[in-house]
Parts: sequence; structure tokens; C-alpha cells
Amino acid sequence: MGRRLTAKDGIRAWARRHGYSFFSSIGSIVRRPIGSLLTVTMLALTLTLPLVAYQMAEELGGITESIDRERTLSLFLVSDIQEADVNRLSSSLGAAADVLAVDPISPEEGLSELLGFLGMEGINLDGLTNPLPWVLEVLPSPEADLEALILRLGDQVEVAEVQMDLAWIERLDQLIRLGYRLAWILAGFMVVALFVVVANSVRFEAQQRHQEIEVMALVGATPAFIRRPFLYTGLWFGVLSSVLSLGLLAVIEAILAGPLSMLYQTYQIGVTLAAPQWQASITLIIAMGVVGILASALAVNQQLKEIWPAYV
Amino acid sequence: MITFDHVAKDYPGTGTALRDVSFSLSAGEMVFLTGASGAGKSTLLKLIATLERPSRGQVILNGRNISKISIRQIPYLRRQVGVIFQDHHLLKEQKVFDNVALPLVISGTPYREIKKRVRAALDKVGLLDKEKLYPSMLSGGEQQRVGIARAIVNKPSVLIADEPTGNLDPELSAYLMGFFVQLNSLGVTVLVASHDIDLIGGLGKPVWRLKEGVMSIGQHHG
Repeated sequence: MGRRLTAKDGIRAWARRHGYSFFSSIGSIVRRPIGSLLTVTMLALTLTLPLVAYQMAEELGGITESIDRERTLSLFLVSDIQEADVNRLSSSLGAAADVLAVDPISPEEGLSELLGFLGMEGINLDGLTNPLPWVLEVLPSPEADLEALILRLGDQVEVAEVQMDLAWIERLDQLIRLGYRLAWILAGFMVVALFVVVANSVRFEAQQRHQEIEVMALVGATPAFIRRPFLYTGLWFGVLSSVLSLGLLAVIEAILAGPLSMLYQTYQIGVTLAAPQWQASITLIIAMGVVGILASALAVNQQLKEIWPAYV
Repeated sequence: MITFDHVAKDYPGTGTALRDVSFSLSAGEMVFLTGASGAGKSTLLKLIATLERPSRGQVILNGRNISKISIRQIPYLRRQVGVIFQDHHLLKEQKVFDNVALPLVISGTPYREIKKRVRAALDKVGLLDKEKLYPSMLSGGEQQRVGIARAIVNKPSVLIADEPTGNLDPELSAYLMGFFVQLNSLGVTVLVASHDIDLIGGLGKPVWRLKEGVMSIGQHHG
């Protein structure tokens, strides 16, 4: 006791105490392998739900982004129109300020495009009448007021119907927005679940080690020293379960990769699966670790108060 | 070293454990504390070990007023007092070595020194060959000696023991009391609570008697 401690000694002693807490927390997890595994697995599964929801929203968002730029309007023309009238209409529409380009598609072109899309090229259609009308594909300028343009185009006598080809994209956007919101709600649940589960298992462990905590307090352990192994346990739960859930997410993505790329092909876009997002993954792991620490701090403080009412 | 100044301790519900106790124990002194069970012996020792706070009066340990000390300082104060309990408070899941090492681990002692000091403490109580065993593999007397090794491993300036021979046979009891006397001769201040008048009377140290929460000092047996 008589020896004067230097700052360096103090830091070394602090590091040794931390080392003890660190290994003691690993020891307590390893000592109950099945219980720890069950807890971590359950947390990981809970965590995977919002991750999958978020990732799906991201994937679908990728589709709409790659298509958005080619938003066109299709003008279905009346069935008895002549090619010369089509060309006249096409050039007059193309002159408008809010239209970038007009591309006439004859019924024959339309039919062969359709057959190609259906994989029925070369099929013999002799003797059948082509039911398709002339179509003008109108590419609006980016600044165009779409609603006004649609109204104006619909007023033309030659135009039977105006269709926004990619109206489905609007609906998909809404769905994606819904997906994101769902992911965030699930993420909120997941944070609460992590908090509750970690707090509960740390509380359980602290109760089991009641006697040990008492003895440590008795021989002069500070509350911080007693608390620390439990905080590490909470950290492990948060970190291990988020790492495991990222692994699960990778497995799910691998399983979905085939069907997803088929889906992309039908939209003629070559979006590859989102690359692993290191930054987001690390942020997730750190955030879950922090939640684990907070939860175990709450639980172990509660326990310390019960054991040591006079002094905590 | 230890001074009690008109100390009283009430427990809500069970009443008064210490009514009015004043004494002063100088550094290097050794005193036995006796009295019937429920006379307040354990309470008095708990006050010294800062396991309890006095209801009234002042407890002064190494010049510091324990009654007024802040909660944050209590762990550091406890490290200056070696405490031995009748039910030895060992950790069942840890080996004898780790049990004895606990106070040193808590203060962040380097491992090499922990090893040296734990071995020295175990050697003093004659249990050096049992360091790798678990407490449950030891006899009651051996467990109590592990508790003593843990209390002295930190080289505390004060050693207090609450009925350390309570569950032991007379021969072992005499050995342990002799051990405390030996520690005292090395300069440690020792306060031992025991109701074994025959044993402590023959050791040539002052015996203080607690009765219904009041201390009578000065009886000198032997």
C-alpha cells in the first residue's frame, strides 16, 4: 500500500482488469454453450426479418431506378388510320416543346415485337388479321407536365387511348416505400427484442452469480468492475447475433439470386445483386453491440441494487 | 487504526444491534471480541468492513471517517481490510488459486505477482498443494484456511474475523487462532470475534465483551 502508483501503473492495472473482465465474459458464454447459442440464434432470426425486408426494398428500388429514365407514353391510334396521317401526326407532336421524340410503331412491327417478347418468333400467322393498332411512342421532355401532356394527347381525334407505359412503376414505387417502412418497423421491434432478450439473460446470469458478485463486492471490487463482464456479455450477444443474421441474409440472397435475376431479365435489365454493404454491415454490428451493452447495464444495475442496497 | 465513537446501529424491524459502542484499537494491536450470539459482534465487524453504515456515531478506519465516506471510495477502503467469515464465502466454481487471487485481480495486479503472492499466502496456511482443487473438494477447515489466505493475500493492514473457528474441531481452532496471533506479531492489526472463551482466554490478548449492544473493555484474560 505504501508504494506510490504512477499513471503508467494505473493504466496497466486498468488494462489488466479489463482483460480479466473480457475473458471472464467469454468464459461465462462458453460455460453455457447451449443457452448462449439459443439466445444468439433467436436474436439473429429476429434481426434477419427487417434485414431481408430492407434488402428486398433495395433490390426492387434498383429495378425502378434503371427503368425510370425511359418513361414513355404510348398513344394507341384509331384503327382506320392511314400511314400518311400517322406520320403527319407524329411530326406535329414531335414539334411540341414538351416532347423529346415520337417513334411510330406500325401494327406489323408491334406484332413481331410482341411475338419476340413471347418467344414465338417465326410462327406462321398467315391468314390472320393483325389486331394491333398503330402506336406512337412519345418520350416527354424531362420538364414536361405529364398530366397536361396526357390530356392534350388524348384530345387528338386520331388518338384512341393514351397509356403511361410505366404506370406500374409508380405502383412499384409505392410498394417499395411500403417495404422500407415495414423494414423500419420490424427493425424497431428487433431493437426492442434485442434489448429485452439481452437484459433478461444478463439478469438471469447475474442472479445465478449472485454469490460471486457478493464476494467480489466484499473483497473490494468496484461496481464498475463487477458490472464489466456483464456488459461484455451484452456486447457479445449484440455482435454475434448481428454477424449471424448478416450471414443468414447472405444465404437468403444466394437462394433468391436465381429467381431475382430471372425477374430482372423479364424487365430486360441486368441488375446484379447488391454487393455486400460493408459500411452498413459494420454500422449494424456496432449498433447492436451498443444496444446489447445498454440492455445488460440496465439488468446488472438492477441486480447490483438488490445485492448491495446500502452502497450502490 | 480503528476508532468507534458512540456508535449505534439499528436495523429496521429487528431493533438495535449496537446501542453505544466506543473503543480505539491501535495499529499492530490484537483484540478478541466475545459475547453471546446476537450481542452485536457481527454488526460491529460489518461496520469495520464497510458492509454496513452506522445509524449514529462515527467509525474511523486508518484516519478516515467511514460513516461519511462516499460510496465510490468504499471498495478501496475494503481492500485495506482483510475479512474472514464463518461461512468463508468462497466461489464454488473457481479453483482455490483463483479464489485467493480475487482481491489481487480486482486491484489489477500483474499476473506474475499474483502467482507469487497467492502461492505465498497458500503456503502460510499450509495449502500450497491444493491450489488446483475446487473448494468443494476440501474439508471445512481447509476451506476456512483458503478464506484466510484470500484475506491476507492483499497484505491488509487490518484483519477482522467473524467466528473463524465456529465449525472447526478444537485442535484446528487452536491452530488457526495461533496463526492470527502470528500474523499480529508481523504487524497486522487483528480483531477476532469468537464465543470460544476457553480458547481465546489462553492467548494473552485483550478480550472485549459485547452485551446487548454495549461494549465492556479492559478484561484481560491469561
